[in-house]
Amino acid sequence: MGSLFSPKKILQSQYTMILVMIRNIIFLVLGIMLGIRLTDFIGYLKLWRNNDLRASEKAALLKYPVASEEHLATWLRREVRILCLVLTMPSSHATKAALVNRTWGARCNKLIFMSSQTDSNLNILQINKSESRKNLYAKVRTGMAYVHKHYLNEYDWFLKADDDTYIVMENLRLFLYPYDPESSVYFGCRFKAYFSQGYMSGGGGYVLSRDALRRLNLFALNSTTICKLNGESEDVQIGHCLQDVGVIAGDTRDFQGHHRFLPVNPFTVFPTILSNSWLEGYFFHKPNKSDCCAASAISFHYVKDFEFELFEFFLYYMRVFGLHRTPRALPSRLGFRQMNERLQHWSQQVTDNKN
Amino acid sequence: MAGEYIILENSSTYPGFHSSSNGLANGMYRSAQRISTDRLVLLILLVSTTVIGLFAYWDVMVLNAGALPLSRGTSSVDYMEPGLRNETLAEKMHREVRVLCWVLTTPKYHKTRAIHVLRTWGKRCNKIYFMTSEPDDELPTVVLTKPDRYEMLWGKTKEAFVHIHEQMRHEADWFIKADDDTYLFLENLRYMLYPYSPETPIYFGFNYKMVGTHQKNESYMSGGSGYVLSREALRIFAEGVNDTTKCRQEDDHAEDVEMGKCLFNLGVKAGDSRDEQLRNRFYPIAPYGALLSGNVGMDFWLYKYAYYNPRSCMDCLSEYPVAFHYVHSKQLYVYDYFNYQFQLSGRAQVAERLPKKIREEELVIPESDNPVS
Repeated sequence: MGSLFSPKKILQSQYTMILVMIRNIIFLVLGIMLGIRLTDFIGYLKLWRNNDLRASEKAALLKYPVASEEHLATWLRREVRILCLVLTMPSSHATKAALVNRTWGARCNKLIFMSSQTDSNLNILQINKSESRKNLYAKVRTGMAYVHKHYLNEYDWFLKADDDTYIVMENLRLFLYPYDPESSVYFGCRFKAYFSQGYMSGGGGYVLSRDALRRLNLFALNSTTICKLNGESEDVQIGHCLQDVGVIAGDTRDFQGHHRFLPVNPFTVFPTILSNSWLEGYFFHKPNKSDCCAASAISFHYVKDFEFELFEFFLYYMRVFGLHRTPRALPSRLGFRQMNERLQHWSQQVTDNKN
Repeated sequence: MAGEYIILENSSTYPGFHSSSNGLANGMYRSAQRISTDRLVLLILLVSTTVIGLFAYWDVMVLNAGALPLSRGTSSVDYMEPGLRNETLAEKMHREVRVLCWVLTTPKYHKTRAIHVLRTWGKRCNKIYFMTSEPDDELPTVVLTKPDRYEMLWGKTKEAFVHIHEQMRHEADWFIKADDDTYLFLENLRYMLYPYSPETPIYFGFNYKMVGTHQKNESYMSGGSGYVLSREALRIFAEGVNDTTKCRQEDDHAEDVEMGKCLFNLGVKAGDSRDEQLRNRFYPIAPYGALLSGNVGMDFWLYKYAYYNPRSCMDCLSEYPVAFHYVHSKQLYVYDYFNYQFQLSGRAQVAERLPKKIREEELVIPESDNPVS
């Protein structure tokens, strides 16, 4: 009896094990598939709430957020929201300010001009101070206070520029993407000063994080002991204020040591930054003299009227046939610890320029 | 032994009952279990395989559909040989459309202009020579016998082209003359020249109306933004330049005007260098003039002298411009920087394809459509 029943039991047991295994595999695969679709569906729901994208762009972003270079620019524009504050004056409204408005200013998430008179063609914040160099600092303070009051939480970064600055907004967004706007940092072309951190050149433009703008307004502009109003250089004074409230000056050089924010016109520095020029003595970090400029440059200064359109022509219109341009990888966002390490490193930098 | 006997006895005692009951029970149990289990297994396998298969198929379709925009964003490989897939189109064109550049310069400009040409766009020519009156160890110079005077430009140009034909005609397919304040985009030039055979007697540049007494369809090319001759055009010019009835024998007069007259009389066609949207590729001034021409009145000199109507695309230059003029030495580096070194994230990459070759009998050169006279 026993010997007769044994084979049946063994077969049954094996059969059951096989069935259980198959069932587990099948449900695992189905579960994975369901999870993948659910993730995509949730992503689609998030995208659906952003009405600023057209349907085709939604579909493209849903599948591949950075499917192509063109989508990268569109995507970065949403991910890195930059408010641009541009210093101008009434005599420049029709010329320089209009050119900024028509060229790189159109790529800001929001563009505000600071001037003493209003203009129907431009989005102007009217600041009732006479146009002189001594009042630049006061104008910028007023502009920063206004932006802090109205737009602090709507944008991530706050760029201050002149009306003869040219900013490559795509490269700026790519540069800022890894950094947290809630960290206390600002970027620009770093110059030496009588205080240890140095300051960012005003003409080449500087960009404050949200926390930097918050600190500036809550602790510096309202203070009676630090950051006093005076008639001195706007960029030096802003740099001093930011140092006093713990905003760290970030490093914007590329891997070869070239400055991405350039406070001069490229026409004047090619082929290399000349020795004994006024500029060489100002740099906080000694510039790389082997060639002129960073391949991923962000800003230029002292740009003439026709050069705005020349830069637009070169960067956004004309092409060179057959050149292969490697698509640039999007850098990963820095985590909390990495961001703090970076801030610590920047805060400990000392100038290597002894001129 | 005893146990075995006992079992046998039991069986023999009640053979019919035990056999039938065992068989029935075993049969029913076995068949029921086997049938239901088999069906269950088959059903599960069939359904799950179908679902997984459908999912895989759909995913592959999605991936393929998504890949198409990406492939359109990179250079096309349709025209590349299998073994050269890593070669960019620009490198392929550098081999297939050989361009010899010669630059008209003078010793006083060797260090201030010519050397900067060599360091920027000059290095992208297949060959480059600087036509001057004194040798220079930093430049590949050809010393001409004509004196250095502006009014002798036509003489120098004749001598230069004849010299090139005698010494260097096997080095290239196309021969372009430029000034030391010209900027040439060689890749765009090769792209423009690719459809044409170098055995076609044709030359290209920015077309101007002919001056003085002339026939209706006669034009000449701007000397400043350069003009490019095919190998056949160069041969015809070199062999016919001494014909007194066709080409000016004296060395004076404007070089580009006399060149245009000479080539016209020798039967060399003045090609239309504009792109398929009739936008200019050669431009006899710097891009400022073009980009800001909305601010210039209708009496702008270019509109009067251009052979093809420039107002049909005011503010319009080709996306692949070939040449600009009045570009100072420092600006050469800026042009180089923005177009060859600068990395702009987010610029859409277009699919670039080589145009179709044009046979000589298919060549159509439009007549002048500029109404201003």
